[in-house]
Amino acid sequence: MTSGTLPPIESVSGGSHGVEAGYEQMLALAERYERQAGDFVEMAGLGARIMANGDLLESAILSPISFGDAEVQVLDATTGANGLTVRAIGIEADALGVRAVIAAFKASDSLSRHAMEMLDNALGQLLLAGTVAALPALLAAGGISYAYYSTLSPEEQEALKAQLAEDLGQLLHDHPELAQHLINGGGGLLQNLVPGLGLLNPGDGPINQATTNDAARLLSLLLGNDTDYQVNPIADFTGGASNEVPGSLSDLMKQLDATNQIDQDDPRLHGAIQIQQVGDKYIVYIPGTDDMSPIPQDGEHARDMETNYQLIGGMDSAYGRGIQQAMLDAGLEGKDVMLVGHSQGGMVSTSLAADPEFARHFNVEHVVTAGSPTAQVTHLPDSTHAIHFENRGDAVPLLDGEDNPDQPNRTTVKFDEGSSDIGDNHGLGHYANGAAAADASTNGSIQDEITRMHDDGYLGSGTSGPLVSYQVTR
Amino acid sequence: MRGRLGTLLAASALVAATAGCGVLDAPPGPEVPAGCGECTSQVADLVSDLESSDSVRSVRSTRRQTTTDGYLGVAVDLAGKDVVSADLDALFDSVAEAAWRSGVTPLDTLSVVGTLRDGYGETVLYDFGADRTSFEDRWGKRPQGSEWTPVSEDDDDLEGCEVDGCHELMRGVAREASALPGVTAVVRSSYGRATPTNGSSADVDLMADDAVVVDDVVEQVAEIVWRSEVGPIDYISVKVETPNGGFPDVIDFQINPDHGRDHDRLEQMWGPRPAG
Repeated sequence: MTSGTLPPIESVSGGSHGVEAGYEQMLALAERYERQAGDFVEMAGLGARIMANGDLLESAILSPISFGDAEVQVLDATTGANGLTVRAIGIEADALGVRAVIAAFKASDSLSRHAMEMLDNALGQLLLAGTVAALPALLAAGGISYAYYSTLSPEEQEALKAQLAEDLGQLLHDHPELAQHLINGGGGLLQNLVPGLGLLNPGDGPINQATTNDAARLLSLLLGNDTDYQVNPIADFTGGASNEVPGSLSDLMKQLDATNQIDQDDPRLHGAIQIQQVGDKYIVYIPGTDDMSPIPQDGEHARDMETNYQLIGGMDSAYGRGIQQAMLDAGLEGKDVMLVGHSQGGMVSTSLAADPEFARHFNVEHVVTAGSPTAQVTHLPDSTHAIHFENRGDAVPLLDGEDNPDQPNRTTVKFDEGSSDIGDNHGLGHYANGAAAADASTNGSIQDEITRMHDDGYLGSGTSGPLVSYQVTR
Repeated sequence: MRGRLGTLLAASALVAATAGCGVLDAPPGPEVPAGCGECTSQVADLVSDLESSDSVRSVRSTRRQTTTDGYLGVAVDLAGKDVVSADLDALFDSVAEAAWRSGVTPLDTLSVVGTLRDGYGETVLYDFGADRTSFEDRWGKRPQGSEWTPVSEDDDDLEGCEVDGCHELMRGVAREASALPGVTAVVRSSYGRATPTNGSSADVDLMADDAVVVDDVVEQVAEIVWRSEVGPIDYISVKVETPNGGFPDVIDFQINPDHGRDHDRLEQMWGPRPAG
């Protein structure tokens, strides 16, 4: 799904070759050291037992000098200064050292994350305080700016707005980490906005202060935290989806794009998801937000901002519940599944994969997300493998306010096909190109994920089983 | 941890409850008249009418919604052979006219998903409620007792094909693409306006024989779209399926004039896009 060259992959974190996997491998090494040391100690004891063997002792009389020599050699090799016992102690010490280093690394990671959360929270609080303090100056500056703006012709006003959007987009593309920290400060900002309510100190984040997730939780509650849903099959309808088995990550994105386009042809088919049978497995394609209004417009869209707030806040959503019901209606109870989602669809996929209630019904083997904030799901079960795609310059995956967790079963691929247009950077076309770049990559974490998808039967060739469509609404 | 979350939830729920569930709830939309509701028998009569008409081979499915207005979706197999020979306007209009004359009420929006014999499919929307006068001019008043949902002011700043989908222009693209060597059928040619998760696009899906060079066909189709007046377009997306080609090739051209990476290259090859 690309024309021309593939976008460069900027970074790959997590997965089988990630830092956490490195820690696990180091721990495995420490365990091997310890086992080895145990073996050495046992062997050292064996030397002493051999020398105490009755037959051997009786034979000593035949050649006492040789026996004495052998005894010295055996005891030196087992309990001597360079013997097995001493070596075992050294290896035990090495194992302890490895464990200590890993513990130090992990503590450092954790400390760094805590410090960053604290800083971002304080930044959010300072933003509000600073804004209040500077309010007169800001109002004056705003008034002057507006006076100037109103003297411009409509064309010039449009051009100015476009230029501002362009500059903002360029800033986001060039410094995504800045946006991430600003978003992470959202908790502190809201905490100061509603100081009397005392609502934003749940302490379920890494710090005992309000985080972005808490802020999102508050917003969803203010919207009513509605989780009621309706699910209806869209009979005999496949849209532009292919009935071929996907052969690559890029194919998964193409198929997801076909699902995403269902409501481009008929906006009333918003909330459409599709389920493709591949052998005895199932792939569920889950598109993203349909209604981007900060306050949902018609109370009918399940893919709205309320769902986004709920997902960032780690809460249940109408969309998530509806997807579960659609999968049950499609007869997937007890089946192996892969969830493929874009934007909000990726958020809900990751959230469902970590949800024990969902896991009671389905075995989620794989999750693929494109342009989705997923860090709010801090841990995926070991049996679920996820690959997350993020395009540089796309603001949406930054909305979790932090980097994705580094888990051996969770790979994050960042690529650069971004421009100064924030909206365009989020488009699925870019993600199909990013996925194609991943298909072509030699990175170990990515290739291990692709191999696993093939081995598990989700990627392959030939005609697939039936493809069914459902609509999830409120 | 859980205790504090519980406090948060409880306190916020209290805030929500005291302010009426959902402090930030959206203002209510227009009230949809009761009409015949799901209109089961009226829809069944319509299906029967359609299946006895010359334009329709069969009705695949129907969908009725009355949440925000009176909506009816009808998926039909149309009598035409392909996009080149069929009079698609006449075929779709015959379905729409039958719905207009049916007892389904309110009927503010009709969606017709039509598929021709060779697999070409299109979705055409009829905004009966918003354009009532023009439809009354064509087909007369709706049956006695028909009701309408009040039309809310739509402040969408739409332009070009975003308004009506440019069906005729996209059919023109499909007809030209059908004539390309190796193309056995064009199965979709539609315009999609931008959504929160995707840019605007012209999408052409086609079947081709195994002998074609996919990249060549794709580029030829892209050129047809480029030279058409379909717009605004961020992406031209061409999907090619061949009998033994496995998963279809889908190739996107990013042609937004401001930041589309393929725009300048294509403009150099084919000249500026027509103003449309």
